Amino acid sequence: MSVTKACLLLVALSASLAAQPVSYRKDIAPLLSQRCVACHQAGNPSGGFIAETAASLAEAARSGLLLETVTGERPRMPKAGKPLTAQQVSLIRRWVEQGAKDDSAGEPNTWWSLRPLPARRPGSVDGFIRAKLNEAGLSPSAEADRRILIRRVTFDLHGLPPTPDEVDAFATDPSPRAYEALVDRLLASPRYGERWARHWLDVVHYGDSHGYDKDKPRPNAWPYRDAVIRAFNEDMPYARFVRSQVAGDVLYRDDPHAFALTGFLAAGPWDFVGHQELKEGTTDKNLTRLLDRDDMVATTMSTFVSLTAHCARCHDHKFDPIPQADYYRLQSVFAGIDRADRPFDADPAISQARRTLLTEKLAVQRRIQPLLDRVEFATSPDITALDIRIQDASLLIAHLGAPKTPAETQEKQRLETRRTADRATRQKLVDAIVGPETFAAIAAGQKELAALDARLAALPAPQLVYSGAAYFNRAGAFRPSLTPRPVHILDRGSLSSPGKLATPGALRCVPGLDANFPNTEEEGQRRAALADWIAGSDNMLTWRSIVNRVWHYHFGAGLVDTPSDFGRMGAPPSHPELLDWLAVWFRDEAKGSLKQLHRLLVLSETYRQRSAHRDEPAKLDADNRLLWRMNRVRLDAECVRDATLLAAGKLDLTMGGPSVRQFGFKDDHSPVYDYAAFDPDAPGAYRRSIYRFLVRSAPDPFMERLDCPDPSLLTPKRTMTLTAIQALAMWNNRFMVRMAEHVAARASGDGNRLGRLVLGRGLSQAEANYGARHGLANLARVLLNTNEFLFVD
Amino acid sequence: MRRRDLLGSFGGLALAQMLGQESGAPHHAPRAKRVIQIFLSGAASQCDSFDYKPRLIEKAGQPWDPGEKVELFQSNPGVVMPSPWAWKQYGQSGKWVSDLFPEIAQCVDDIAFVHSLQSKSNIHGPATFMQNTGFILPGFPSAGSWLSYALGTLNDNLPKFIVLPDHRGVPPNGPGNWSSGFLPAAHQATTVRVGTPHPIYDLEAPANSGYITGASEREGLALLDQVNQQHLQTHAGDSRLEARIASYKMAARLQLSAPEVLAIHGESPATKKLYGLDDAATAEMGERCLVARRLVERGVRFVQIWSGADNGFPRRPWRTGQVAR
Repeated sequence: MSVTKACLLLVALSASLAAQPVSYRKDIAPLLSQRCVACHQAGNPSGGFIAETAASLAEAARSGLLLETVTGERPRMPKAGKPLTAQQVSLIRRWVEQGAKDDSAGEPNTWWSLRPLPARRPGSVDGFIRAKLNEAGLSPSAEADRRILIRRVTFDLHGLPPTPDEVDAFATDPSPRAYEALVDRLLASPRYGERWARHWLDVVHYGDSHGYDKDKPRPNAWPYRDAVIRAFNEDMPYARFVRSQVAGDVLYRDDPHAFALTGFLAAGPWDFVGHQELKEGTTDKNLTRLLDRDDMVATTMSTFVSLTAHCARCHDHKFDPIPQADYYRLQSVFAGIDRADRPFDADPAISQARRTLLTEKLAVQRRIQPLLDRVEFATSPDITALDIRIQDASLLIAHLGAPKTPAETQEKQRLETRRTADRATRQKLVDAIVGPETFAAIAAGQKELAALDARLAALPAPQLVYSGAAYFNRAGAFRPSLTPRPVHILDRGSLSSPGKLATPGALRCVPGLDANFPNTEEEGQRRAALADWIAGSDNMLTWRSIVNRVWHYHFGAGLVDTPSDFGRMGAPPSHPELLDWLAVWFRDEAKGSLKQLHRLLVLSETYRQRSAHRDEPAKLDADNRLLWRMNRVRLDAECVRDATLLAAGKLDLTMGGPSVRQFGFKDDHSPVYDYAAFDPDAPGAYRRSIYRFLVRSAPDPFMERLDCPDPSLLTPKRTMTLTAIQALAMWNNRFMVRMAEHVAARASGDGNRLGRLVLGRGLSQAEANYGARHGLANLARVLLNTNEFLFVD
Repeated sequence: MRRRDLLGSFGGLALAQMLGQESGAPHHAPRAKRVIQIFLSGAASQCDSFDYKPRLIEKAGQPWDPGEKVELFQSNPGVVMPSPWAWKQYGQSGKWVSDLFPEIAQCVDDIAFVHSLQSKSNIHGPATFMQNTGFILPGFPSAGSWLSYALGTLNDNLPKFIVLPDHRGVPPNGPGNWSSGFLPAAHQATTVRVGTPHPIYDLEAPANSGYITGASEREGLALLDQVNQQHLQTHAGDSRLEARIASYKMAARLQLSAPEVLAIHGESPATKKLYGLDDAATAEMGERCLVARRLVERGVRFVQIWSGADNGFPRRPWRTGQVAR
């Protein structure tokens, strides 16, 4: 469209709409906050004006400056992104013409997600959805056919298709409560927890290896995965689920389930080289730790309260009311932990005994650590000179390797003798600096530690979970903090510009909550305070966040389409009243029961609608944000794999335990993970996908092509692509090719049975003919590649 | 799925073309059309290659004191060691090059040297991430993925971003280096293992399937298309279903075009010699370079060649003879 035409249209629009009043609160404020406030805010007013409130804009509106900057052939503003649309400019123009009135009085001038939740009131999912549809002049779709409904809800709650017999039974069930009974049966099955735990593990970026360089396996990550499955299956109240993950070891002492859930803290990647090989005291060491805590802050805030607090590491958040200081308050909460294996016990008495002994050990270690450091870091010019000589000798010895000539042998011996002598001299110099009292004190402490270790060893062997730990056995340069490390507010996020010390706390932008935590040396108390801050009934973000996540997985899109970002860069809610009503209902009526929330949503008429396209509503709402139909979804990677195994009659429903390594594994300095070396019929190959060993650096290529996300990445929402490479994987991957053969074997020559196993229906003539000509394995391969198999209506 | 995701995918691009839309039109007209990046992980230091440091020669054997705090990975700074290779100036530009690179030295006037790169980390993993994604944290899209996302395709029959890894193993961070991060999977790299029997994963059915024949393959794809078309009749108005049908046609075209592009045996002896295929020390790397050239000639946006620092221990360096070619 040419500029002239656009202007004409704008004039026409202005003329016809001029009479309609424009609301600052409803029309202008959201527009400004999306496009202008990032720069023009009170903390940092660019160009001298603040776009945060109607009052602060009054002068710019009156003088014409506001309109002038956003109009013209090349509008000066907004600087970032596209110019405002003609419709948006028209809104601003009319608002100015109507006197730039402020109708936000009485409304707290806060971002939608930070407004307090309303009081409980009656309502229903369908009521809110219908109201919006009516407003738009749309009607909902009719209820889906029962065969479609059972496939939809079974994939949704179990991540698996129903069996052909289950479909028949449900389709012919005369009971009017058949669907309700089906939902209750599905929610009671352990398959439910396995499915919904997978969603949760996406959000928290769980993996079974460390990631980064070397990418070592993380053999004790899985107890967290199992604990999440169990929490879903046992319908653990959401507040307890949250509190357990952030500080279950402190808040529910001696409860093994809560302890295993603290695996959340360590779910993300970990830089082995930076932590274990880099020497203490260097900038890069501190950077490694800073970024490790950054991951904890980012994961915790985006998972539970859907805010991108980690954007405030280098500067105040550009879009949300999160000052840099608040970010470092959160860093300070995690300043006492590193990622390491922690022991825990099923028996509370043993757990208590272990806890007492570990507390005593920690006290001794804290006492002697400064002494040990005095030895480790003792230095003088002579010691430094010796260090260089020792280092040179070591390098030369390594370079010589196995000597090949007598001269080399002699040279190597000479270097070794020199190095031994240098080391002894160095020891003497250190001894002289440190003094015998220190060594005596260290020896005494180590004796105490040995005694405590003996008593720990006498306890029954504990389970281990990879979690956040303040105390663990040192490995190389990886050593525990013992007490929380000091956290400074870093100018531009740079460790070379440390500012004030940060004290533990949370985000002060959340109204009505105390965001200051006790500045205690016991790091667990800091995490416990954060757990309480998140899971308290007054934290509106927490309750909005979880109901939106659950909605997102049921309907294929959230009421807020950015489930981990409720800030200004996120999407606004499509149904704000429904979101708030659900949050309050879930918190107060369902008491945080996720199963009740699932039940509420999948029993709604909105959920039970057909997914078929309709021309008229599609013209008004192509993205189906108003839910005039159900969304059709493509199966995710795990569903494809599990449903294929199920059709093949191979799915192994064994639950829990160490993750299954579906690759050839060669342990090494840097291990090798080789997927081509794994046989699709090998032991463990038939386990459900949630039990796969997830390698961060080397994802399973088949799963990756079906958009299984990189576990180095927080994934609140999966992307769904349809690519040639994906088609090749579905068509040619050894797993698919082998499973097609198993499906055929299971159908034992009966083509219609094969059709039912894969698609829940008999064969068409063309399909039957193909099967007759090329055999059922080839036919199964075709059917497993159909859109009918890959999409859920 | 958002429209952007759809258009970003191969199938989506085919669909876009079927619908008469421009395929993946860029945000603004790019000047460079295609990129070959050679990543010599664990390569020679800049001080031994192209970054002439006369002070190192001047201060040889003296204690290292650059006038600011220096932190090494595990060790302490010792004395200054100058480059063990001699340095000369070459070309009209007078570019300094060490004797390690006698051949590259002959064409310095055709090369742009950038000596201002800095890293935020001195650790292999994070620093390699930074080189590829701009961030020292994992999970961000690599440069090739961004180009694929932003610039779209020049050839519908080939992927937009291709990685040619070292035969001996993958570098620090593994395939994470060429991840598409939070961009749709359509923008992740396609790995081509040059010189192996199956260079592209899943490009063809396993030879030992025991039941797939040429006829079952051909007729099977035809039947799949037919079943999907019928399904489409009763599921109108969903472009994803059409896109997925198109993706199988794209896959078939990829199956045809990939072997052609990888067939370097047809290149002239002179070209092969230029790429060092006649010398065991350079043949593997040379093959990757030659394939990379053929790929970009056919419109692949971004080809990344990796060599060296595989995951063994001690890390093996990039391969050189006495001098590097």
